[in-house]
Amino acid sequence: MRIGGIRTGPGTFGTRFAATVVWEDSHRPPVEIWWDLDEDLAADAFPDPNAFVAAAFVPALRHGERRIAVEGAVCPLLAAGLEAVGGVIRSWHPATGPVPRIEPRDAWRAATPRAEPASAGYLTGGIDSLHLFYSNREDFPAGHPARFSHALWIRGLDYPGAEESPWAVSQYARLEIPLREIAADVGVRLAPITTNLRRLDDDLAFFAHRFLGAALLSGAHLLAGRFSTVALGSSWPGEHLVPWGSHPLLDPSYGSAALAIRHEALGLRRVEKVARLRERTAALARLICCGNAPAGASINCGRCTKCVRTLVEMEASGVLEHARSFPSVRVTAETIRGLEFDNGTEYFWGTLVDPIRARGRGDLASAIERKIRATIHHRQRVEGVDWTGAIRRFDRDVLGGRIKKLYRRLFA
Amino acid sequence: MRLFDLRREETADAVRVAATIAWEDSDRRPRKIWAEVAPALGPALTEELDGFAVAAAVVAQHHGERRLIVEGTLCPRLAEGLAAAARLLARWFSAALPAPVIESSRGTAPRFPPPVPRAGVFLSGGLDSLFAVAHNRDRYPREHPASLRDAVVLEGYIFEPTDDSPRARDYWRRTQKATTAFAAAADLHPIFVRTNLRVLEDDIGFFCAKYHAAMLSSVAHLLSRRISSATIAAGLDAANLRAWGSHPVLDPLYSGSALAVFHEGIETPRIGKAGRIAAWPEALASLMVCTRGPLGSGSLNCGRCEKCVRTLAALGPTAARAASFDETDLTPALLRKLSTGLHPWAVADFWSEIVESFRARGQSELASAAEELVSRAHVADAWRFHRGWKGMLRRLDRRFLGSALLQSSRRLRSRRSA
Repeated sequence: MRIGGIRTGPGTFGTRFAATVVWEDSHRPPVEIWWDLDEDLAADAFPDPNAFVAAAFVPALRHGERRIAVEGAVCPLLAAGLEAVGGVIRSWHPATGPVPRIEPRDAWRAATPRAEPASAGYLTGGIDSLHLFYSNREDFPAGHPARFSHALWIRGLDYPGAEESPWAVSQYARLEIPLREIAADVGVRLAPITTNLRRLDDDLAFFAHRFLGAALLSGAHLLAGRFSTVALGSSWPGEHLVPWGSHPLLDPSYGSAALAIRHEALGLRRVEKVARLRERTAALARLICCGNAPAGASINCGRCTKCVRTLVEMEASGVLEHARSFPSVRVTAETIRGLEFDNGTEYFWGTLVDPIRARGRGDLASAIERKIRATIHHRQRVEGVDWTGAIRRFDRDVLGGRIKKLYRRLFA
Repeated sequence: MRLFDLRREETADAVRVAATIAWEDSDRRPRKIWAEVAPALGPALTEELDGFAVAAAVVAQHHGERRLIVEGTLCPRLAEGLAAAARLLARWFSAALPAPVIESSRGTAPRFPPPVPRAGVFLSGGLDSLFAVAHNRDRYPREHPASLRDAVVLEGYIFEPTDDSPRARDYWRRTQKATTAFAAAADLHPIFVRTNLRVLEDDIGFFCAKYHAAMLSSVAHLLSRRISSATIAAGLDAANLRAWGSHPVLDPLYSGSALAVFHEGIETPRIGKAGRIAAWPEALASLMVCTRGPLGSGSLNCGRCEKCVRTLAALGPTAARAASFDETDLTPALLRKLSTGLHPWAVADFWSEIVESFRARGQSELASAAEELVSRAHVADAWRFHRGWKGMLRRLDRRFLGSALLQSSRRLRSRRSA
């Protein structure tokens, strides 16, 4: 892979920091990747090659690129971090090829942090990021270097290939209203950053399981003159870490000698984060959790698994009355039965059983327990790790599939 | 567990910070814990309980304490990190030892880092810590804030500071010799810290699997008036990570708002580290991996224990001869005698790399002997963790038969050998 043509110019949403990515070992067309920064952020931003390398590394690893040759200098700490990212992803997905070499055209150059440390956080409007911002405000007084001054809002990752379309722009406008209100409540400036990074690889599973952290965090290198630390809230807690694109083994490794990246709140379950936001009614009323947000008249659809789970979390924490960004807040056992617990999220549901039962919703607790059992059973069956799997393996390996053929003859 | 009574004690030889821990749920005596430095470094020591809280939290969890209450304030970032670390350790090792609640009697108070950032590294003289320094020197110009300036060397890390045995005294003598020479070569300021934090729980399994990064981080916090970051050199690489007392997810959780704890070097396997040290003659001469002893020869390493042999193999014959080992020749017979030790998985992981490098050097007999060692380590690991059908049988025996099968087997064997 070659990264060149690093440039700055006018973009659709402000000043554009762009580069061209040319694939060398995989048959993929060249792609221009960019971030658009608003006037305030762009004022002291820099088209840092580190940003482009951090963004392109995981897609390059996936597609078997042997090297990443980049125009300019690269921070050796970032390069070491990316090697570690490669090692971790290869240990999770053993079929992944070798880790690409980083080849800076100019030199290895340790990035220099700004003299006065300063911090920013990532805001999506979801539970994890709301907890991140409110706990930061509680923990650190104004003037402390760890206190956030800006809320970085990454846009475009949900619209691969259509980041600048009128549809996407209208969605940004709708989401911006609650996010600005939340930022104002926390006392930080909302800073939208729009990007087309998913054009490097628009596969949704790849994005979620490997690329998420890099896609969110890489652009922060452009802002190393403004912030010495950026932080994002953990998606999965430390007690249940799974291979995921945003992970404490990956995210800090996208940092450089000038920019530290913190993956925060590993110690808390999601339902505990909701409980800690109990007094933050302005934020809870503007919560954005839906994968399809903005959805319909409300921001959240209220029907998808994530929305329903969030509503149950709010019920379990006694804050359901503040859930104003949903069309309806009524969740029944029937609602739970109609859901699909995907991506291993039965863990999150499992953390809700006791708290929701303690709130007098034994009907929901029982429905969740049944659903978890069914989900685990289904997965074991699909993965062949239950007793039926043992029979299937025995039939395949020892009997040459005779039982399967007989079964098909009898029941097809 | 209560952590209280932070105090500063000064003598002609040392400045010490100390605190007391008292157990609430475990039937153990209160203990005074302390760390001390030379008087000239006294101003580096903090007057907060944060440092002792890190070690105390992990030990409290190990002994089933339901909470750790710090009588004073605690850094909010550290408090959150300790709670997260406790849950992570519970997840890794035993849900039966739930995470203690971390409390502070006067709430949380953010700490401010020193006005000028100053980077420190823990230096043992081993391959990992020498590589951490080498890599740092490769990456950063000396004026960069991340360029390492202080090397923290602990007395009391492997042996208790009051251990007056010949082996302990020899180990500390060799550590001082190796680290002083290396610090001078690497332009690092050595800070020798003596501490009894290890005595809180001296079980070696606990120390390795859960505690050692917590102990190091404790000391780093105690020095946070001087250093703003502390690097702990990675022992495992990214491809072979395990639940372990120093880990890239765990160690940074011991950071506070005045002190960042870094776990560095997971991108480089042990062979790569050895290659880098082999190319730095001063580092090679100071390399000290051996905990055996006392060594009467004046060398830093015995050259015969598993860790020494592993290091010699990784260095290769030329570099091995330039390093400070009593013996440097490797033979297949020597490799066949090596023990797979307390952590056979680590022996298997490290030696798997070495098999390849023996082959690359055309040392096929050594490669075969190393492969045998890897196989033995896998078998020992499976035995230890009750894997395979034999493990299943042992579990059934222990659970349902009260270990009757095990006892019969031992009786039969002892009769046969008699």
